[in-house]
Amino acid sequence: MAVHDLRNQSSASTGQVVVPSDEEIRIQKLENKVASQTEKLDQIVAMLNDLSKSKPTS
Amino acid sequence: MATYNVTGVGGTTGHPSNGRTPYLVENTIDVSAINGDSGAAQNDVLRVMDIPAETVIMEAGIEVITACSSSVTLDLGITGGDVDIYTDGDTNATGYSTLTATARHVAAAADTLDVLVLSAASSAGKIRVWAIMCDVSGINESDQNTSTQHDTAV
Repeated sequence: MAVHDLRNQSSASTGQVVVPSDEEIRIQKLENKVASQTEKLDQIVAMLNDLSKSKPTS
Repeated sequence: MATYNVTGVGGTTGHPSNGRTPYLVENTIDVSAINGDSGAAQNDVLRVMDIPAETVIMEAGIEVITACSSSVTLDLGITGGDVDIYTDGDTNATGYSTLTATARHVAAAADTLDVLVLSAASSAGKIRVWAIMCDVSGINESDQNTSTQHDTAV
């Protein structure tokens, strides 16, 4: 009799996985979307800053 | 015999619909790939899932996706405790194992959920082990009731 530890992913097992609920998947997608928008906004702010430096208001 | 009301204030008002919830955990095992592709020997233990401390396994079972070797039966439970609390001698036919009627397990300390390969060795088979768990640890373990509530029968 041997004990085989298959809790982690291996050639013999997918590993134990907590299956998320539909609600958790929805929230995760929303979080990813917000993170993506934040990145885009940061880029826009950086571009505006560069623009204001290169074209100072008189 | 007396009845004492120590349920605390509030009654059933405010029981949340979005409180701590049960969750599904699964692990799919390729039995033929165990032990360097030689499979599981008779009486081998397959440790498949962690159970956190203070967690109840509300239900658990085995879905046989591909049948194991002939004559193999499968138990699912707690090694060192009730080894067949969730599945007892499943005959390894494809599909879901029959659920037992035994009272469910509360892990006071962290433990593992294990499959026991019985009756024969198995060089084949694919099984998915699933469990529905819920954290039952307390968030307030101090008695907040008054002396009146303790001493007055209702």
